[in-house]
Amino acid sequence: MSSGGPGADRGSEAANVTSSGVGSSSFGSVGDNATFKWELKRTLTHVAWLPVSACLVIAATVVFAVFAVAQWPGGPQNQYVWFYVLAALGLLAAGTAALYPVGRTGQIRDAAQQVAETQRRTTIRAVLVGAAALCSGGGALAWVDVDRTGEIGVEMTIRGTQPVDDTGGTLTVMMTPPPDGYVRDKLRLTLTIKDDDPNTPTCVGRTTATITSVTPGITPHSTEVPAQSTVDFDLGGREGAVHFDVAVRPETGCSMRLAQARGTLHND
Amino acid sequence: MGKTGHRRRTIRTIRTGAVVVALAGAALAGCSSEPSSLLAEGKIEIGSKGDQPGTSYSPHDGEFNGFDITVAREVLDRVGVKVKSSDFEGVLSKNRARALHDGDVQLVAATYSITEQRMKPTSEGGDGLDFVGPYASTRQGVLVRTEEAKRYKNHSDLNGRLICVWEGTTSAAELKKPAYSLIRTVDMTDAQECVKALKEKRVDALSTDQLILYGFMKDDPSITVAHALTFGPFNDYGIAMAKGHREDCKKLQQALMDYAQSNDWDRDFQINLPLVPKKDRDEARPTDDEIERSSCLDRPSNAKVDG
Repeated sequence: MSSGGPGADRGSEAANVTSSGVGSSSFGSVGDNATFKWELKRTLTHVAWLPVSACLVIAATVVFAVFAVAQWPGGPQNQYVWFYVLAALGLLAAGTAALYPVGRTGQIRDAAQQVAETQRRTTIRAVLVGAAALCSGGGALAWVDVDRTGEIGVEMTIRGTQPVDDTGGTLTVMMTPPPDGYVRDKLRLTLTIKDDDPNTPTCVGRTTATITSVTPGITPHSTEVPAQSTVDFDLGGREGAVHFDVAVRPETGCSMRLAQARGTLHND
Repeated sequence: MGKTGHRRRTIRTIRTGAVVVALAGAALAGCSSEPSSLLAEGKIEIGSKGDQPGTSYSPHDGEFNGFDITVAREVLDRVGVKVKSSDFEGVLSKNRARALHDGDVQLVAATYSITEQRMKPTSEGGDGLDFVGPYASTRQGVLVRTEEAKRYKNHSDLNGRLICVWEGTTSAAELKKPAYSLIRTVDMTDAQECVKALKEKRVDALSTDQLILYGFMKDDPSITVAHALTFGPFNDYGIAMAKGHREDCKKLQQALMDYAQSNDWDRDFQINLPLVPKKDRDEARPTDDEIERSSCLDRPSNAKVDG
């Protein structure tokens, strides 16, 4: 860089020297009278700010999506609808903004039209980038909301001797404590008791069970349920492991199995 | 010329439109997910067994009788389908599901037990059948020689005895459980072979669904059901059909509920199985709730729980 930049106009030694050109704007002086000035011929919107912003939105969305997957709270998929929709819209809008052509000069007849067309396209890109940022941000907030207050799947372990014959038997169902921070008011427990052998006459309609919470402070303390049932328990602010006894009562001649216990923590 | 041409074009357009509408209607009718009704034609083929007096029995070609046959007739009659003896045909136990899926018969009424495996759709590895039932329920029972009947008062009286069972029955599976380890069993091919072996004293008893045994007992006074000896879960009998006819299934379900609550069920049961004691007959009779939780479903439904 020198005082004789592009378009330099030198007069006498003491005269001002002006230099201008395309590039980042900067001002400086050499000596007493020699100054140079780079003038920005394009506005900021002409530079690659919009595609760069679009790419930043894409990168931020992808990074958050990776984080979300790594920290996935579980639970039913329908509570993540807003996260999926907004993240997808954000990526779509940002991708469109990044790839949106600046102008189609071949179809424009004069310079004025070209300027107007370029401005129009720039505005569209700016709106797309803005919308992308809003959608991605909204998606992130939706995920955070689910993470803090939504439904979380918890692992339930079944222990005890199976199958349970017609003399009856009690199994233990334990909820593994969720990670720190996942505190919810209630546990939705879904039990599936099936015929031990699906080829024998079905006893599902003739089997009942009693679920009793072993862990204190949980309501209801005890409830009678059919073979396939869902019960909501109020955890009373409890955060740790929760234990239930499930007394299975098959009818005479029946042999049943507690095939599945699913737990979902929630606030509703 | 201009007016005539315009009129012709209009007529052609109307005709084309009519054809398109007709074709679309036909295509939509063809694309309907529910196949045509089994009951619509007023004629139906029913698979039954031929070797179980009292339940499903064919004394000679073209004639069938027994409680299964009566129930099928009564239920179909209530949905407007008149059934003749020639509408029944014999099916073997092991071929019942295949006969339905192959379209050889549209219904099976043949002491067909409702199980989870049979109700499950074929896409989930099941037999893909819908049941209308139960129309009767029974536990496993024991048939002995009449002159020895008084020996059998409780399960321990069977210890050390040789009991005949046949392949694929609930009894065969049940008697293999550790609880019955002191009872000896021998597998034969079918009921008739076991009855013959019992009468020839090659075995001490035979076991299968108790209602079927009462049918054998009526047919031959030299053999008797040991009334006190029942075991295993209730076997619920249902009328089976291949899945895909839910509307028909629901109509038959309602017809069965009406029939089971009427005196006709009691009358028909006593005519076909007169030796069944009243207590067992009462246990065999289905309630509306039982019919609802087993009929036209892909998996068995729950018991009612108070509260």
